[in-house]
Amino acid sequence: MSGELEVVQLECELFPERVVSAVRFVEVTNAASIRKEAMSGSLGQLAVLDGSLVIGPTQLAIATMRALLADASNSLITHTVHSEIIYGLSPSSSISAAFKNHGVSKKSKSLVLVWVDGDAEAMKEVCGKVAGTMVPVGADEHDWMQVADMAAVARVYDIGDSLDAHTSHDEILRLVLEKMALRDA
Amino acid sequence: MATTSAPTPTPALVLPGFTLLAQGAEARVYIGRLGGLDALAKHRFVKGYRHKVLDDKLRAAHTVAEARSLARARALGVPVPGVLMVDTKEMVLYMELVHGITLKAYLQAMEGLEIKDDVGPHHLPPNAMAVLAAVGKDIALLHNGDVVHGDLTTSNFMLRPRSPSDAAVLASKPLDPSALVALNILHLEVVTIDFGLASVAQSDGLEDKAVDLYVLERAFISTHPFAEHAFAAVLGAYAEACANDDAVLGRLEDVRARGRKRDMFG
Ligand SMILES: Nc1ncnc2c1ncn2[C@@H]1O[C@H](COP(=O)(O)OP(=O)(O)OP(=O)(O)O)[C@@H](O)[C@H]1O
Ligand SMILES: [Mg+2]
Repeated sequence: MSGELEVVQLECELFPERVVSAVRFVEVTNAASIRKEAMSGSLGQLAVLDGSLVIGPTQLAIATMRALLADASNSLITHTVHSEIIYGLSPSSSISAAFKNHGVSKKSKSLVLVWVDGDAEAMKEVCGKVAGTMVPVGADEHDWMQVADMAAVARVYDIGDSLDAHTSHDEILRLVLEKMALRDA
Repeated sequence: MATTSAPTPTPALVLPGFTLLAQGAEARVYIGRLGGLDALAKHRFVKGYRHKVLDDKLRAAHTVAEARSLARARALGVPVPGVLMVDTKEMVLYMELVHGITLKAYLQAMEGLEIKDDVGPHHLPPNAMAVLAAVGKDIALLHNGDVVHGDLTTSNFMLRPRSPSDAAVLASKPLDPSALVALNILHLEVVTIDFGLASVAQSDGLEDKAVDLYVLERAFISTHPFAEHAFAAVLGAYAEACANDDAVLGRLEDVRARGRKRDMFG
């Protein structure tokens, strides 16, 4: 990858001292090798997400804050804050389902990378390993939902019954956040 | 239990970026931002006089129950604040902040209207009656799904503007009654809040549902001069949308009768 990193800072208001960064790739062709490297630890500390179920920065920020809250109360369910972000996106309390649905897979076509207090050089290096197109990540949820696989979102978050052609982006976001939150309820 | 000491005030939870809005008997309510959204955080604080293990259990159960009730209400088609996050360690429920005014403020503003027509004093214009009908319909949708709100008051319904110009009318201080009354139900969405005492109706649920309505009726009567007329609009829409309105409204009569007895001999 050449050029500037299109990094978004996620607003994690409950943790103002943490810097949370996200980048997004589409048309990814080497997900299998990225997955392998992520699992071996050679990419350093980050969360590598399959992009198809990511519908915007709010969803990512809330998954991240869940992870940071769990860390702060010594109640991480997974091993690290970064893996807990993957778990935080999930409406299911099954860890394996969370990783299967929300983590990078061999077949991922889009990826979202999230770093908590990531080092700029390290972030750049990881991005350089991804064969794909880095897309600018506006704060705009509309933009994300065009890239996400909305049929998969409806299925995994079990919100299909509440959706029709007129359902607004705001409404979809609200439904998804509710499903994420209700896992703990 | 032989504790005589006053409950020690628990220190406020530090939620970065959030400011205290209100304090109730069980919870403090804060306003801030979460993931870039305007949010309201409801923190059920430690009750020092309760045994710690029991207290933690109760606070967690109530936090979780409120989140579930909100989700259930939404699934029933009732507009409610969206649940954003549940922190069962600190017992904080984060929800969408509803921008708007309470039904109470709306009705108080209506009192300032002088209506000159032949229906007589102490009644409300059609737009306000339609807002009240929306309230009645939402209660019926909850009850049809066996959700009992448990604390229906005119403060626990909010009116949310549907457009920026509607928002401007609701934001004006003091409220301008004549601008407000020009807004019909296409401009205002009724949002039901505070599911802290909500529950799933047991057995036929008639008593719980009737009491839900009775509590709201008392709230109307105690605060608004046009209460009877206004509450009739709520009940009319309720009856229309409720699956077993005859039974619930029949029970409401019983509940009222008991209430009158209590008032007389209480
Ligand atoms: N989602 C919301 N959006 C906007 N305002 C809200 C929301 N939820 C609550 N409020 C405001 O905060 C007040 C207190 O909230 P709520 O009633 O849920 O807390 P409570 O602890 O039950 O308080 P109380 O004991 O006074 O009923 C409400 O009366 C309302 O004015
Ligand atoms: Mg209340």
